[in-house]
Order: sequence, then structure tokens, then C-alpha cells
Amino acid sequence: MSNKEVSNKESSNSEVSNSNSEKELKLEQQFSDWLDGKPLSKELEQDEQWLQRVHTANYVGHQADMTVEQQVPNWDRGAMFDSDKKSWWQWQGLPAMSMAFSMFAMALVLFKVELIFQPEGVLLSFSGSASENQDAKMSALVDLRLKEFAAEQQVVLANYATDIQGKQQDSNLQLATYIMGASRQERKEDMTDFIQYINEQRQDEKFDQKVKFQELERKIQYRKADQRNNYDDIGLNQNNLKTVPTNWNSEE
Amino acid sequence: MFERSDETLVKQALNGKKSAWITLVKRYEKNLYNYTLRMVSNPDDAMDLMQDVFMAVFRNLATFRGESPFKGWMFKIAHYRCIEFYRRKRPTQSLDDVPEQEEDAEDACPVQQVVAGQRADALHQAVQCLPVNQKLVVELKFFQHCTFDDIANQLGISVNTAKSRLYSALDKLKGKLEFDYV
Repeated sequence: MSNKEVSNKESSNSEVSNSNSEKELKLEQQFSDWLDGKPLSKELEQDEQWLQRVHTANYVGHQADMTVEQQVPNWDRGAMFDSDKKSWWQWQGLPAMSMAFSMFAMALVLFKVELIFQPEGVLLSFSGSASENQDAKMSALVDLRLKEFAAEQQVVLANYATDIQGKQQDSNLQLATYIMGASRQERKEDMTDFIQYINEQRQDEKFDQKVKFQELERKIQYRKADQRNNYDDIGLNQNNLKTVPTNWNSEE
Repeated sequence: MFERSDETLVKQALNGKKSAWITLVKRYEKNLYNYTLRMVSNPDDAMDLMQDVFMAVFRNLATFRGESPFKGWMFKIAHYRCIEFYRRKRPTQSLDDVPEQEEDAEDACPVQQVVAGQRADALHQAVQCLPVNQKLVVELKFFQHCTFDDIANQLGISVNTAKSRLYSALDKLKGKLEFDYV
């Protein structure tokens, strides 16, 4: 088979397929028109497939027209109308209102809006200007009060210092008086003790001296008796005995 | 008798008039109930779905601008709630898949059997075998007589997608129903 013959056959096949497609479209349009109420065309009647569809459509349409409509069972037709009455908290605008209040609150925070109640009236301020003024006023007032307090404290401190000084002088005087009195007393007691000691010493010496005098007197008596009785070997040598009286004036 | 328009009733309901809302519900509850019954094929589920749709409509009533008819707007919500219902019921199943049959006809409850008997039973059984997306298109086309533009608008899909789903549904139904009509 030559190339020319093949191409001729292909072109003829393509023409046949195009003509079939056009025919199909035409039949489809005619069927669609028939369904929408136009009369049935001859071409449709001659096409087996479309004629079957026409019969089916006729049958279905006829059965549909013959269908008896059912009565609706009784039901509460106003139920949804009643259920649509919402409570106040289900009000549709509530979320929007909530959102609006939230935005308002955010604006109050962002712009630092302040509402200040004063004896003169109510003050509305933005961006914290009122609080700055208020801070300045407060600071000045605090400074003034501090100065007054400092002056008062200085006077009180001066008075206190004066009182302390007077009291200190009195205390010093009392202390000096006490020390002098105590010192005098101590010296007096020391002197008394010393004189008492001296007197005791003198008493002891007087006693010792008395004992010695008694011993001497006895020796003398023994001597006299020995002389009388010639007892030379009594044991006591009267010539070696030297007694010197104490010079109290020089020791004292 | 003078009948108030849907828009008027919606405005009155929005202003808190309960009777206006009940009038609006009564006007469309039959259509909606039968729609949900066809979609879920169980009276209890259909009732729940219908109430769910009315609940969604009521909650979104303030968004209704009146640019399109109230019925279309309400059914648009109904379609979405219906798809949600199927997604909840079978989370793993795609809306384009053929649903599994929950129970045989013999096992169905008596109420369901009576309901099925009163309708075109063969059609009902066949439609239940369709995927949800195709079932919705069949419902809109044959039961509510919508054009393809309306279907596309209500389901939020293109016209071609709506057509394609309907043709697929018709082909499947043909296989299920051929013994009845050929």
C-alpha cells in the first residue's frame, strides 16, 4: 500500500469520525430540546441509542406524573420559631460588644488613660501627664515637709545637747565630789589603821619591856639573894647584861 | 381568597410573626416532604431531612434577597442538605458511586412497603440504585420539571454536567426498567 493511499485512508477516517461526532452532538442537542418540551425529531427516532433514551425518559416522566404525593405527617411547624428566641446571654451582639470593650480597655492601657478624682473635680489625663504633675507636686511637698522636719529636728537636737551637757557637768561634779570624799575617807581610815598598828606595837613593846623588867628584877632579886647566900653559880652573869631602852621618837 | 406572596411572608417571619412562618411552611412542606421521601426512601429519614431543611431555611431567612423565587432558593438548600445527609450516612462513599442497598423489600418496614406500593414501585426501586448526583438530576428533571439551566443553577454545576448525569442515569434506568416497558 502506497503512502498516498494510507494518508487518504487516514483523512477519510478522520472525516468519518468528525461527522459522527457532529451527528452525536446534534442528536444530543435534539434530545435535550425534546426533554425541554420541543417535538421529537426524525433523526432521534432513527437512532437506536437515543430512541432507547427517549423511551426511558418517557416512561420515567409518565411514572413520575402518576406518582401520588404523600401527605406530610403532623409535626410542630413553629418549634424552630420558638427555639429561636434566645436568652439575653445568647444575644448575637454579645461577642462583638465584648470585643469592643476589650479594645477600649486595651486603648486605655496603651494610652495610659487616668481618671483622677480631686477635690476640685475629676481629671482625665493621657500618656501619664497627670501622674507626672502629681509626682512633681508630691515631690515638692515631700521636700518641704522634709525641710520643716529637719529644722524641727535641729532645734530638738540642740536642746537635747544642752540638756545632755548640763547633766554631764552635774554628773562630773558629783563624781569628783564622791571621789574626793572617798579618797579622804580612805586616807582617814589608813591613818587610823596605821595609828592603831603603832599603838599595838607600843603595847607589845611595853609588854615585852615589862617582861624584861620583870626578868631583870628577878635576876636582881636572885643576885641579891645569891649575894646573900653566895650562890655565884646561879647561871646568870649580871655584868654581861646590857639593856638599851628603845628610842620611840626616832622610829616614829 | 387573597394569598400573601412568599416575599411578604418571609418579611413578616423575619419581623417575628410566627403565623407567617407557619403559612410559608405549610405552603411548601408537601413538595419538600415528597422530595425528601424520594431521595432517602425512608419516611422517618425523609421527615428528619425535611425538618432539617426548614431549620436551615429559617436560620438563613435573613439572607434571602428575593432575587430568585423562594421555592428555588429553598430547594437549593434542600439539595445541599440532602447531599450532607448522604455524606453523613456514608462518609466513605463518593456521591457518584452507586449506593449499596440497605435492605431488601421483604425486610423493609410496613410503612415503607405501603409507601412504595402507592408509588411506581419499579421506578422507585430503580431510582434508588442510582448514585446520589444522578438521582438529584432525575428528581429535578422528571418530578420537578426543571430545565437543564435550572438544574445546573440549583445544583451549582454546568449544563453539560447536568446533561451528562441525566443521560447516564437514563442508561442505567433503561437496564433496570426494560422488562416493564419493552
